[in-house]
Amino acid sequence: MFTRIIGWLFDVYPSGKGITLWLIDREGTKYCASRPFVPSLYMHIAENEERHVAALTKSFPFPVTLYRVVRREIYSNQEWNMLSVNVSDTTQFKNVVWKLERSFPHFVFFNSDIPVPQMFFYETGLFPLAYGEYGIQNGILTEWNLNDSYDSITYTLPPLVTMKLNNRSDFISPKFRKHYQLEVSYEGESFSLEDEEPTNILHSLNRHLQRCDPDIIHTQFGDAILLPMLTSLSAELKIPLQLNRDATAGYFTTKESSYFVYGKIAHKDGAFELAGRWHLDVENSFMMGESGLDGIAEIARLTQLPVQHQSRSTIGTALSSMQLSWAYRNGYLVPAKKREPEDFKSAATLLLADRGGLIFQPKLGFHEQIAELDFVSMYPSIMVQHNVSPETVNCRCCVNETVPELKYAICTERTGIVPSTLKPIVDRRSWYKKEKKRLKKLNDERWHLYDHRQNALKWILVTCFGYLGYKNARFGKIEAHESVNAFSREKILQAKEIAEAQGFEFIHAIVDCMWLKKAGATERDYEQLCAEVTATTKVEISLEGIYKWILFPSSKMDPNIPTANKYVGYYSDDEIKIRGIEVRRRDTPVFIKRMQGEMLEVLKPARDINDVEELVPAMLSKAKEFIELLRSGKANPLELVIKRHITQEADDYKNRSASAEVAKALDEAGIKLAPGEAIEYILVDACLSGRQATGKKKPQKAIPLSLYSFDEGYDIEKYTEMALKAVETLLLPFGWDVEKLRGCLYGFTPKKRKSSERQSTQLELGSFE
Amino acid sequence: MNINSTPTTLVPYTTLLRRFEAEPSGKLFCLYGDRSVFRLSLYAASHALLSNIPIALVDGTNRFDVYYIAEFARRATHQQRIAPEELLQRMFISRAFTCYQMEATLTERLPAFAQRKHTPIIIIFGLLDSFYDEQAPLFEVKASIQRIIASLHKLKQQHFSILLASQEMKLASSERNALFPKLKSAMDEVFRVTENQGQPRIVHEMSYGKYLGIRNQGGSHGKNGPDIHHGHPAGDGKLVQVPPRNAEGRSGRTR
Repeated sequence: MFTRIIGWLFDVYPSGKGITLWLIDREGTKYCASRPFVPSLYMHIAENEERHVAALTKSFPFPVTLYRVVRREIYSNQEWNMLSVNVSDTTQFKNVVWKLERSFPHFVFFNSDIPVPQMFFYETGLFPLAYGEYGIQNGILTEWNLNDSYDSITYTLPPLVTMKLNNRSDFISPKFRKHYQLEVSYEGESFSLEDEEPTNILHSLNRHLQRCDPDIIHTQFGDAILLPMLTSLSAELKIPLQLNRDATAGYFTTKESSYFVYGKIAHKDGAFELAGRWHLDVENSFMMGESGLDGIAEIARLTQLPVQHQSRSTIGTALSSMQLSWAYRNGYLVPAKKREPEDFKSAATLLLADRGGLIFQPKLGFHEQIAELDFVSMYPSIMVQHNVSPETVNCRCCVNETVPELKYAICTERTGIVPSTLKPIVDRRSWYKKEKKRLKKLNDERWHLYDHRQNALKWILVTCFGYLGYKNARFGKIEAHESVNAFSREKILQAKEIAEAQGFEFIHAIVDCMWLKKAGATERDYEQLCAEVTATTKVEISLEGIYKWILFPSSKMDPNIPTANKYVGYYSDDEIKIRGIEVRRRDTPVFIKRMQGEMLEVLKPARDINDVEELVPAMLSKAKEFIELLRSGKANPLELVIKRHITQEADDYKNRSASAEVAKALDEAGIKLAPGEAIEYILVDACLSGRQATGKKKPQKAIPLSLYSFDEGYDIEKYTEMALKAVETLLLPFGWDVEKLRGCLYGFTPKKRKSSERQSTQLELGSFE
Repeated sequence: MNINSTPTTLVPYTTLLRRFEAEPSGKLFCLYGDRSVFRLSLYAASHALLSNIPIALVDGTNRFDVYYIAEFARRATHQQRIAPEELLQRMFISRAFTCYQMEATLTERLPAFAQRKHTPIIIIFGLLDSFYDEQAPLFEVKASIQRIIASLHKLKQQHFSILLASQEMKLASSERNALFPKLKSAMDEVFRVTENQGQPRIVHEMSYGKYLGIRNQGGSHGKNGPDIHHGHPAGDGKLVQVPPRNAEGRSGRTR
């Protein structure tokens, strides 16, 4: 029987029939089909070694065919004669690779570690949520004709049914609980699955799944806790769960992992993916949190990663998938292991090359009438404009000294894989941003849609530069990374020279943005400057805004040292911009954030520094309200929760830091955490809490939120200290350091300080008291 | 960074240095122990540079301190009236961030580069550090190390002197712990650096090329035993040659 469907490609996964596909038509009807698919890997071996491969693959109970093909190697850009190993069973592809890898060195393998669904997409040109006409003959997808393209901008999504499955909402994450109160919600109704026998919970969940038949199961901690718990219960009680739409398929799971990223340890929960449905765990999906389903769909289509996989993958994986797709489309081999080494360079070159973007330290304190100019997507634009890519920097065919300072050559013969994949993203984001601007106040729904999509793309652009230097990036090279930095330094210096030549004072610059000042300069003057800088640097720079006033606070370690990444200020349209200070930081308790936020709100009417100075008493008064509440012991402890990530397992902590105590207390309560996982705790008065730190005869100074009871209070002194530091961030330029604030805000007499230590505008306390 | 702090090891280390330079070219040296091995190797490199000897350095552990060399160049060249730039141009570095890159560097890039640039001295920092990454399967790691050792021996035959500098590590995986002794056993001369009351102590372990193949067939290599430094005048900071103790032989590496 032949069926023609007009709709969207919803899900794909490997199965005994090759690839199983799920389609959804415009009415929301679901169709399942399969498509034979033979994944291939390539081996760069001599013809006389073929017999060895044939002998090894003969033992498999399914056909593995071998033939010779010609493919292009990306770095040399030469055609290589390769052995193509074709595996007829998609579910066994990994096993074949595994067996061959034991007999041949890693560097002979190409295209061998790409997941089968991705390979299917790259080879067929299909992509998640592709809209078109699909023909199914006796359950087999025989043809398709897409009215869509993976890089289309004006695409639509299928009508999707969503069910939410959560632990009943409370302030403690299910990770720190031993008992759960499950709740399912769909079609505007919520159903509690609590207080039932485990058998009843499973039957009840199955009933809801049948009734709702969701396309998306949306969870919080579904990957780490809920679905593993439900499926193990299901196995124990022998009650099959209907989480999968495809009853013949299993679940696709991966293990949790801890890894280092930019010198910090991070943790990722394992994945729990379904067949024929999407399981999206908002707690295990960066993109879901940043741009919702709109962002996930945008990136899945563009990167050709199956939606569930994409929602859990890092931005690097998404970027890498676009590069793989490009490599397939252009007939390039994909090395299984990144092994392109760094070229030997002299110590003199390394001294020049091993540097980041330029930073000009800000002038401390408050400034007024400062303009901020930002290069638009500077690093991706550099990569696109200058053709910076691992195979184009110091390529084997060109001799030139294109990269400033470093004199590295850049290929003029071909466009690299990195610029080729980045250009559509840069263009696309620029289109969404323009549309967003046009639709503001005209079409709210579309405005939000484009905002989500451009935000999702932003993260690829933010990450692409770092990924170029990442050791595991398949198409990365340190020289390419160094080249981008060298270009960026050149461009910001050019911008500085142009600005200074026109009489602008350079106040501060960080890599791709700069703060300038010129008496009497108007928006038009700055825009004219932007046009000149854009023309010279070939990277668009735009006026972010003119601040009525801006504060560059000092370092916490030394009040005379500025910090590059912290500032707060109000633009002339009264919009506030905050970076790096307590109110923006994720590790600041809500109470302190609220206090600093309200103090900044006091400053909203200030037009210049004089106005700010006049409002200092009002800010102090606001701070006093908060600190008095804090010191009365009546602040809401839930607003004092501190969030951190543990850096090691509980047993490995040797010190008595708050994180160590909390990790150990949780461990003792049976909650095992891996390095990089988040903890939440409240600091308590060590003497008053009465609790003993684990394994020590010392009082505990921090209690995990999940073990905390309200009568344990909180450590008034420590939280007061935090609050005072947050006040000091804003008021130090007016002479209000922590000691002086302590004296003023709760009657503590400050120590005498040398007058030379602070250049300050002293204010009389009486003026606000 | 304090260049002047190096003289504490100057006496023994110059001995080591002299040995490194005086040996007929084409030898595999291993300097391992605490983290000072990197600074000591850079010190050796700096002196070789002053003698107009170009050096190739492969860094697999991100310990190459270009500022140390730059500072050395600045000071030394001030005394010897050579431009610091000239000194910095004589040293060539390649960093490897994964074990696959390390293999590619040592088996492909380095031999060609060393021939082309005539760098008689090659220094390798943390050759195995990236091989300790559990993400790289052990079977691949072992095969890769074999290929590297073969390449190092080939370089040796071409009269390049190679110094491996490695920080001693205790890994959770016993199989990966066994990688370093295997590499060490392929070296001609092995020196161990330990800190004794704030002073680096350099002990010359047996020459593996001479003894290991003959004496250590029993497989007791690497096991802990009594302190081989006991009774030897190594504590005073002098370089000492530790004779082979008995038929079993051992590395003298105590953890």
